[in-house]
Amino acid sequence: MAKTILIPTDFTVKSLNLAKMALQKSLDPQEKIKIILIHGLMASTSITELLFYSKSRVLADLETPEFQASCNLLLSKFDGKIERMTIDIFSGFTQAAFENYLEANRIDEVYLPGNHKLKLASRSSFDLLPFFNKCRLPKIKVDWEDISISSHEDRENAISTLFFTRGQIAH
Amino acid sequence: MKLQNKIVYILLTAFLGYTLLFSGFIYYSISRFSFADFYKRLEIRAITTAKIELENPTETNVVQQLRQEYLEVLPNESHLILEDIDKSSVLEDARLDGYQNGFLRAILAEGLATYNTQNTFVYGTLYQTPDGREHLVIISAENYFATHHLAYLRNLILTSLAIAFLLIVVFSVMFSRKIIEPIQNIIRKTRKIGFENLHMRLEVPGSNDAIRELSQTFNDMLNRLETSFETQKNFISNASHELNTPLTSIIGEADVTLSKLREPQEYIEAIKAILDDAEKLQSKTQALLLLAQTGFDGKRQKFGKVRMDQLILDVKETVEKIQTHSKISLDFSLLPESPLMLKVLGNEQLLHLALSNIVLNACKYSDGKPVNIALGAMEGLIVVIVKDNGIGIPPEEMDYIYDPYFRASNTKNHEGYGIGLPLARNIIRIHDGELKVSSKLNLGTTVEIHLPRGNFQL
Repeated sequence: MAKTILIPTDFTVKSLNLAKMALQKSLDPQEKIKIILIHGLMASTSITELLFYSKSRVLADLETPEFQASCNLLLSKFDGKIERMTIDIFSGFTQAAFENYLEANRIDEVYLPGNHKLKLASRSSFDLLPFFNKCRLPKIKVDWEDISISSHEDRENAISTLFFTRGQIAH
Repeated sequence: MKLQNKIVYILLTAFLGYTLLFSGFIYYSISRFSFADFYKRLEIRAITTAKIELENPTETNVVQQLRQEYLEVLPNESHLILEDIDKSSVLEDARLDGYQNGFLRAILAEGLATYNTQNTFVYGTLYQTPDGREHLVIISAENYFATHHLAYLRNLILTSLAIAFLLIVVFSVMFSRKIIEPIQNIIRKTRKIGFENLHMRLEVPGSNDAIRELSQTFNDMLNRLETSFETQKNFISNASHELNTPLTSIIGEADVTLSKLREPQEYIEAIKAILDDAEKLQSKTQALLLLAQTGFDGKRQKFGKVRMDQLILDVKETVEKIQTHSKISLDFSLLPESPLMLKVLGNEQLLHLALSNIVLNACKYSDGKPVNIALGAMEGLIVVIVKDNGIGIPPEEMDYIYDPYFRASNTKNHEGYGIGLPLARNIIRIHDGELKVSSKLNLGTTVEIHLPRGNFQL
């Protein structure tokens, strides 16, 4: 039975480090992992916009080529480990809605970043971390630091930000 | 002849030929139709006239009435009826003087005949009344349609031909210009590229056509040219520099030794030192020779399987030998599970040269600070990242970093020729890869190399 883990993302390559750590952490070669990368995005209030709402188009707008390339890197590295990796959008406003989402997707564990602050990818994005912190599932906090001394990229989107990091799981 | 004119002429002949043929056909068939139609009208008139005049007038009242009511009078209509003719002698009749002889004969022989002079159309027939007598009926009239409508049609066709000609000329000139323009652009750009700016490339248009292929082929050729050019330059400058150092010390040693008479022990030491330097010189020439022999012997480079992780380890070793104080750390944390995903179709010597140039640069400009090399693979692509914490590149000079012999303004304290990066980029280009450099002044430089994965089977 595959384990499903939920990871918040802000569509920067840097935030994918969380997924990388999570995958590196599971040492059992038999264990398969389903990853759901989730981003909080408020649904539009306009009826016409909702009428033509397409999740794939919204995601395509948010994903940068570097992000996709980095997802690809992870997929090829952990080819045998990842059963499925999906990117999803959460538009709920309440803790109950979030719990519902967790239950519906049969999430086993949630990961959240310790020292890294997630950004808001678009104007209607909102922070999911309060929901993560309050949920009843096992939470795993991950700290990581850039080991290439000066993290001179304020470009968080270079593929190189996925490398040269040292992670630490704070239980 | 210029290609543009050629295109114009070809288009002109094709379009004009087509329109001429088309309008000629229309004119011909309309005039044919109008003639046939007019003769038919004359025929009806001839028969009705004969009926009225030759048969019992009381019975033909209706016909006459019909004729007056429904058959409009044709312009200049006239008719001639010769009653009860004798076929052998009728031609001498004075009333037939105005008609052509052949026409009359044709009537007698075949029963009916037609001819036209200018606008007057003549129809003649033999009419047989119920009592068995034969009569010659000739009717003539002016064909209004032929004289006016056909002339109008002709004028119309001629004017439209003239307009079409103008339109075609304008269209074909514009068309040929549009076709020729990208080629002329290529010509203009290619003329600009010479020995001194071999790094320039043609713009590759977005559309997927022959022009794109042409400029890509040109660019590929320029890539190959530039690479071999610069390798040779690189080789010469490296070689002369490397060879010069031991030579200078040999000459100095010999000079000093010869300046006065010395003890045998001193000579032995001096000659030993010279021998030492000479041996160094020999090993260097051999190394240079090897470098020259591998890959750049004028033949096409051999492409084979190259494992990128192995290559990076080799490069690390080489660089550590040259720059002894460098700290290189590898990050293989995202190494894919399958070794197939790390294999590149390429020339190992060239890739080694390119990568070691980049890593050497990174070590050279970071003054002992650690240099990170990472390797990862994704769908069809292999990514190598070299990241240093060195002096970086000033942002306003980023555009020139691929120009051969260009050295950034903050590299005065470092030795170099400004050849490594352009050479590396050309080698990556030969392998259909991509080289990206991003840098922050005084913070460091990140070089990203994307290489396509070779299609190998296990």
